[in-house]
Amino acid sequence: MLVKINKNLFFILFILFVLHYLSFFLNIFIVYKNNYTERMIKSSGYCDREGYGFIKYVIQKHKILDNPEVKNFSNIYPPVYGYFYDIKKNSNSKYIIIINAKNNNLDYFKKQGFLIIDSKNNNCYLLKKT
Amino acid sequence: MIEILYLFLQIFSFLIFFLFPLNKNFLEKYFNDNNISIYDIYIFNFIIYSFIFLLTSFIKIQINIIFYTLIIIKTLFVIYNREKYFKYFNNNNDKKYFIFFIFCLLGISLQIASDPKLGWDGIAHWYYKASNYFQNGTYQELKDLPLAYYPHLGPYIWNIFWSINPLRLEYYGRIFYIFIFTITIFSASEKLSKKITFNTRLFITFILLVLIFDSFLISGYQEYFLFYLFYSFSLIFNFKDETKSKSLLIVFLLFLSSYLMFWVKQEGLFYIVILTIIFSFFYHKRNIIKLSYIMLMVAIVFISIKLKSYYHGNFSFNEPILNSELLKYLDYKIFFNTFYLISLEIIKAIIKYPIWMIIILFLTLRLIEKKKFFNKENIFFIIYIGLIYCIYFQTTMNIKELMPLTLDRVIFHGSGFFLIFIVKYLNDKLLKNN
Repeated sequence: MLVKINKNLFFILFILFVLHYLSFFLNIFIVYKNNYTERMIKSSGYCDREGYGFIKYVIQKHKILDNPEVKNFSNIYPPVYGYFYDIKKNSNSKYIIIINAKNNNLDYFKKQGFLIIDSKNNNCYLLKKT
Repeated sequence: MIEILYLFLQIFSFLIFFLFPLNKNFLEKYFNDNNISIYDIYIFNFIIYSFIFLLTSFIKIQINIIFYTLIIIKTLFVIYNREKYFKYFNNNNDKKYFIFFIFCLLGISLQIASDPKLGWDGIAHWYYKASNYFQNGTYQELKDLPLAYYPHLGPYIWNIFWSINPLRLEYYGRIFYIFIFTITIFSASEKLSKKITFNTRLFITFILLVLIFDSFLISGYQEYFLFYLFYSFSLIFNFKDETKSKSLLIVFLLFLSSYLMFWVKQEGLFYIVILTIIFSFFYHKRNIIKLSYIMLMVAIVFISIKLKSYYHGNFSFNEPILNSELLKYLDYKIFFNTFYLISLEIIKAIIKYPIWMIIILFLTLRLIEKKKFFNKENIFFIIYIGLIYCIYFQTTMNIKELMPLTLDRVIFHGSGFFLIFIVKYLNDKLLKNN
């Protein structure tokens, strides 16, 4: 009887160890506490990194009906517009979203005739061609 | 909380769905082998379903309705025949092992749930294809998306499991990569001899999992799919070797597991060539089977290339295979410098995926002990590493920039082929010591 309990105890402890190694309980807590968008913003950034949060915000707020171009001026991050790409929408949009932009980047677009429609944190902008 | 609940349901649906159509009784009878585990059944059925999914990817079909119907039928069938399914587990240890499997599957799945971000290739290449199907797009419409010439089977299956989940969150689709990774590890570990203590088997399984798992590869990459297909091929070959079965089902499954690579990644075409060479050298002596296999493989790959060209205008790789820059290697200094750079990067990749250290160690030890060189693992190793050198000698891109981004993943694919060998070698050693 004691041997059987010991065997099961070892197995239970082993499973607990593996679950801890895989951060099982921490991940349950994270998923429980934060919804999908919050988790995506945590890992892909709002106006920083890939700018996931800002892209999602402007697409919803401004009800953009086509697929705007997204330009991330920090080229160490992948282009995340794919998350919002709609195959039914037109890709020749008048809008452009710029992330991690510096003043000179913004000046370039202004000279090209773009207007600022929305912006956050002075580094991400929604621009529209006039 | 609802997300976690649906994650559990998603995993449950995998466990039920891939129990069919091949079952234990049928496989044991057909392969003349009584050691077929539930993980092997998942491996075989996933190959068959992957092929079915490949066919359905070319037509417009509401696959989620079919999936729901099948899941309900299959669940009822399993409940009705529960006694039969309990027999999949011969003893208490098998049940514990399955519990361990489910926890691993859950644990890794929760990792992508907590951080659903896609990796660079995941979002820039593969996600568009999955998203195209998710938005009811067709195979034809893939040609308007980035890197249209990349194969689409992985993203198509990703889309299926993404769209069947009521929450319709993208990462639910990617759980299938975790499923095939986990069944691969457990199917291989389950081949450890039953004479080895259960705790040792658990420990070895865990070590394999730690050595092979890379959370980066579940961020939308196709590497686990190729890893799984390599494993499937060697698993089926192992059944053939052990049972001396001449079953055509074995040939059919070998054929599918290598052919499907064509539709997973571009490298797949070269992997098919390697596996076909392995088949023609090491399959039993019936030349008619070998010849038919090779001819059928050439024909089906040719048809697939034509099919791709028909839908997308042309069939191409990232760059032409033959180019004028290859002549620069006539200068031996450039040749040896490139050779050195590739070798260095291969060593780095082996350190990144330490399973390769074990593979090389065991291959060397076996060579010293048995002094027999001509076997499928050695031949595969030489051709595979040779292929890696060829790829990076051939490219016109700057290999100093390209290799750190890609070579480790190419190395990783092939490790699937050696899992059965590792386990069998461990069996030999551990039983000898006992």
